[in-house]
Amino acid sequence: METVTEKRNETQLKRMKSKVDLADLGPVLALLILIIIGSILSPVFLTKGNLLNILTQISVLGLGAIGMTYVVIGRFFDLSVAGMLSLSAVLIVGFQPFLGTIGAIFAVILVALVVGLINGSILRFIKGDFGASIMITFGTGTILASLALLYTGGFTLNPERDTVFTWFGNGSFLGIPAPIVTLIFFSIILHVVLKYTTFGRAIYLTGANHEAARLSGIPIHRIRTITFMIVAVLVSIGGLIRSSQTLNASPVVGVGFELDVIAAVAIGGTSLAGGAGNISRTLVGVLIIGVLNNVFVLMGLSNYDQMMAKGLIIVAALLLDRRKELKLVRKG
Amino acid sequence: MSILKRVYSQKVLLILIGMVIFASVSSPYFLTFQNVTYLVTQLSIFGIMALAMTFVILNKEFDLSIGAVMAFSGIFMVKMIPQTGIIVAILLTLLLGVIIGLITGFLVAYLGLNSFVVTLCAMFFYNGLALSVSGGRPASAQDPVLNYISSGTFLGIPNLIVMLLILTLLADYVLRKTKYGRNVYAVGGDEQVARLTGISVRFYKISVFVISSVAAALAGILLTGMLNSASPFVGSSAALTVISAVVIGGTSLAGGEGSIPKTLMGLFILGILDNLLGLLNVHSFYQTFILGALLVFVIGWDFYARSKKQVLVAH
Repeated sequence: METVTEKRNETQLKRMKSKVDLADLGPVLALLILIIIGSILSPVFLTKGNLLNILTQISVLGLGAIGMTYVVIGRFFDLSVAGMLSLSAVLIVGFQPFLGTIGAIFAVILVALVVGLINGSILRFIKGDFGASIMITFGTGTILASLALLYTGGFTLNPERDTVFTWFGNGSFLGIPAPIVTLIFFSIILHVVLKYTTFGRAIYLTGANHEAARLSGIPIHRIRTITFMIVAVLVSIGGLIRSSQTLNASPVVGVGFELDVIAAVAIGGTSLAGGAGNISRTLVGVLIIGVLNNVFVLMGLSNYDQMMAKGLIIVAALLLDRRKELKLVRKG
Repeated sequence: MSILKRVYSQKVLLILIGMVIFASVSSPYFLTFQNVTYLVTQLSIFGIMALAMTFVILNKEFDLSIGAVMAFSGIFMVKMIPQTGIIVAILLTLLLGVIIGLITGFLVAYLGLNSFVVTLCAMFFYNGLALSVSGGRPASAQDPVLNYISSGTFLGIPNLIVMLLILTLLADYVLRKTKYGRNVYAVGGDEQVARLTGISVRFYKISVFVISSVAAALAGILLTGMLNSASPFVGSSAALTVISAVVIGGTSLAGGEGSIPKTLMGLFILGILDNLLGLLNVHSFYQTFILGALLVFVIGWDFYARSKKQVLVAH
């Protein structure tokens, strides 16, 4: 088992050195094909309005997915994002009357930081691995989802529609809708941090080999906790955008969100085995899901059919990911 | 010291007894014959799935799709009854369970995918399928045979309880007394060692998913009979509840450790908790909260205890 991991790491290193990676082109190709299908299906597809519409709709998912990319690269998993999205959506609106919109946003970001800290601390305390992170965040996600329901009593809340609040979902900056601007802003930050800082490299090393990372003095538990905090904060900003887009805050808005996030990360080509992947890949995955949803609607598929299709597509993406991994092992 | 240790090793049983005492003190209605029968009947459908989930978790795998499979099976059966009659419809639904289990098992055992993620996808797939086939509406099924199976009694005991009892004894026998059962433990305990001793790990991985899907299909049939209709919306909490029951009973998520009596205790702890919260008029949102907290605590405890053990072994 150990030699297999070593070989994988070696080949990964080789792959990192080569400039163009064919494996990266797969998702991009898929995206292009989808865009061609979309433009054949409907003349509306390639209009500026529709494209901006797609981008606006995927921005919440994008925020969750780029955050999850950090967690997955470190070879962990966070299923609590669904509960976090619901909770942040209702808390922002719930806090508005007491703290003002800006105060409410900061308060919810604080809540997200605490949630990430708790997830990370539990895993640290129990010395949990990949499997533990799935199970524990499944549990904490259930708690967060029920807290969202408890907070509103199951009802949908109406926000105060001041300029700050409505900007995040409906405003624009230099002619670009605010959700897209927010996603681009955070994508750039996360990309730079991942690529050019010691912290970013430490995440890769942690994911590639926990033991080696620990022995070379990297505080793997602290790094994991920070990645959990990052994803929680990004999801809470997603909750703000979602509440602002729909001008109401539903306590069940996050149901199924974790699956979309996993799908985006896996389809983009970030390996669930950890140690590899980057923000741009995930963004391609997010775009694929966005275009796919749009094409589904153009094809007239019902919500139910979309659920089925999504389940199948993720399994297919996982299989491709798995095949790549096996190939790497054999090559090495 | 040894007495303390022995008491500690039975902590789940102690919790269960404590809960029964607490429940009967806080509600005079709790220990009545009607309430107990009601409680066990309510538990039996999830109980059947929990017995099967024990096999899955003993094998160090997960199945999150059981709720969706249960919902889809109910819809599938109701759609089949007019064409084939009730008996064939039931058999076909059980066959559907086998096929679903084979697909999941194949994806996990042969293609090496993580069962947690695969069954999460399967959950969405079968939920979507159930909603799509039913058009998002419950389908009613008025069938005397089906109704008797779920709501009838045998020697004064509700059929569902009889069924749970028989399946419990069967599952316990298989796990403890047969070669199959021993190998389920072996595969979950250490896959590598099991493979080297000549056990077909893939066969066992696939078989446990078949068991769990068939149990979910059976649960769908029984639930449909109980409610006289099949709804695509049932079962959303099934996976959480069933996995909680198995884990709370003390079956380890690390695989290879656990038993049917443990699962049964976990099931009753959850059932009594649910019943008690209902009797005390606690809102269902709180129940989900408590379930989630309990899950985090028990799983955390399981991993923590194991990491302690590993440290001891290392020294």
